[in-house]
Amino acid sequence: MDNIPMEDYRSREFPSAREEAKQVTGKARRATGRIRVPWWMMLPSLLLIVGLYYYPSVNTLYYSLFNWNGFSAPSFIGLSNFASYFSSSTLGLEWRHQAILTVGMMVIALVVPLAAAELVQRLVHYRLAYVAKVLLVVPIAMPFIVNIGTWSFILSPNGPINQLLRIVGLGFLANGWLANSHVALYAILGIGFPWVAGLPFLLYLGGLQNISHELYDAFYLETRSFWQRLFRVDLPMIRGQLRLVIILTIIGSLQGFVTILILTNGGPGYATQVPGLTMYTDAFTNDQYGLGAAIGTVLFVVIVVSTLLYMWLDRRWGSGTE
Amino acid sequence: MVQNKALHRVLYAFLVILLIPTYYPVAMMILNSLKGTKDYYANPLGWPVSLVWHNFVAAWNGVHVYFWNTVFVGAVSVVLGVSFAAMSAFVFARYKFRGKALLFVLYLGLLMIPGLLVLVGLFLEIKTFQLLNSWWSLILPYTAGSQAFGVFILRAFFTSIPEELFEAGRADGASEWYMFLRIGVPLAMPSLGTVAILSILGVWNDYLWPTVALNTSNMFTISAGIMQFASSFGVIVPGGQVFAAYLIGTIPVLVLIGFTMKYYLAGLLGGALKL
Repeated sequence: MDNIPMEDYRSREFPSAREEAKQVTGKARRATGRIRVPWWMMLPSLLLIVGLYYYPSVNTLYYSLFNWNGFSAPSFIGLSNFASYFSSSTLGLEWRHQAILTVGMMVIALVVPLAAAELVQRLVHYRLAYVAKVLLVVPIAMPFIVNIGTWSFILSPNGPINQLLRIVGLGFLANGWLANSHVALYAILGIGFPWVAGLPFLLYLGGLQNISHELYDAFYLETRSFWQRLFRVDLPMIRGQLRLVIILTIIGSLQGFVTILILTNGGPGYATQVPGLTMYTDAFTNDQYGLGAAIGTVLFVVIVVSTLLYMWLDRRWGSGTE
Repeated sequence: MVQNKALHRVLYAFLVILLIPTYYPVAMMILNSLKGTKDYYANPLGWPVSLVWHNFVAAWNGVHVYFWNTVFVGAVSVVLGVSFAAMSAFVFARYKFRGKALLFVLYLGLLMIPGLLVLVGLFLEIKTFQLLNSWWSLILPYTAGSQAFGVFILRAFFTSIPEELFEAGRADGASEWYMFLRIGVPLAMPSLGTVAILSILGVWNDYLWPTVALNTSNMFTISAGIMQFASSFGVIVPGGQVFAAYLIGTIPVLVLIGFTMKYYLAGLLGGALKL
């Protein structure tokens, strides 16, 4: 986040062009006068982000202090929405589910796409490695809703997983994967198996392919161990990518309630209830907009705090090992 | 690089093991989309007994409204979104003025605002302005949605154009707006394409917002529409038609990404790496 060039980008990237530009600017100024910055060109974009991101965000924070059903006038109730959310009977349950999902998604996003990227990177034939990369990436094109719909069939009682289990004689394991309250949450984690087609895989592979052959060759003289190379060369070299994936997974897992909304709506019972879904249900099903806004606020705070906490830990831990 | 035949056999084996489950859902979707209702229930996994192409006719009849809604909403919001992002990015990239860094912080700040925080507030805002159930309730958020990554990607590109081109234009008396249109935009076409692709996919894949902002399904875009179609059959779903609808929802995206893979991946990575 701190690597974005702000003011001095031109001097960094085009030192000579800048010098030249100075001279040309001098000439141009004499010919046509001062350059007029076309401010107005920024206006539509700025209005859009202020009006449709900043204003609604403040709106959420504001209405979290009100009791409003959308029809009668909103009434100010202080922190009552927060109080009623924190004393709700499903609070512990839904955050426990959230923790399981976040940790599970994190492990998946850090391990599986990385293994696939290591695999593709080791394919010696350049063309084959490219074909493998494209084949593993193309399923990104599957629209979200199609993915969910297909997986709801795969996980259904007569779906492919159960059929396969019966064929290999493990029929006793067959399950209504999304209907059984003991396994539904884990079944949701399983969606997308083998979890390769996605941004993490692309990021890891891009990072690994940027590592110079000289570095590998030098390391190869020292040891041929796969694990040594993984932990001492590859992982340190793609630390930026790992960091990005961790942050995106924290945010994505907290926002990922739409999958659950479509597949189980939090059920069976409360077996897959998560905070994001509670926010959605309170706001848009029960018309308790203030309560929904309060839960949205809580989730926002959790996202910001956990992201900052992670970045702090990363900096401490990182400076300790390097 | 390690040259070892046995190792490579293992690697290829792993690759195939990865590819089979990756493509299984796609294969299953295609097979099921061609099955008749009886065939589907008798045999949900195997090959179709006979190919029921009529499934696609029925599915198209069910979702074509949503498809055209998406084309309309997508076209308007992508044209507006890309144009506005390009204009703003151009100013950030090519001019120096006081307060520029501060204004850019507004865009950087968007990375810290999760959709969760916006959702309820945006709904209440749209409701207050009485725009619920209108095309604006979709077009405005989608147009705004492409500003953050659009400005990042396009600013990076506009910054890379040599200043001499613009100085030459200025010496000839061209206005800044004219230079944006005649120098900046033509050179930026690939980047503009990247931003457009990401924006279109955003509209195409969004399920949640149309179901929140619209209370009748006749204005739904494709993702919400396909779900509407799938659930319209009640508990008993004639599987073939639903899978045909899924395929109809996938093919345009596959074609788009297939032809523009390079730009799509560039945008995906470019947008992510800005974080």
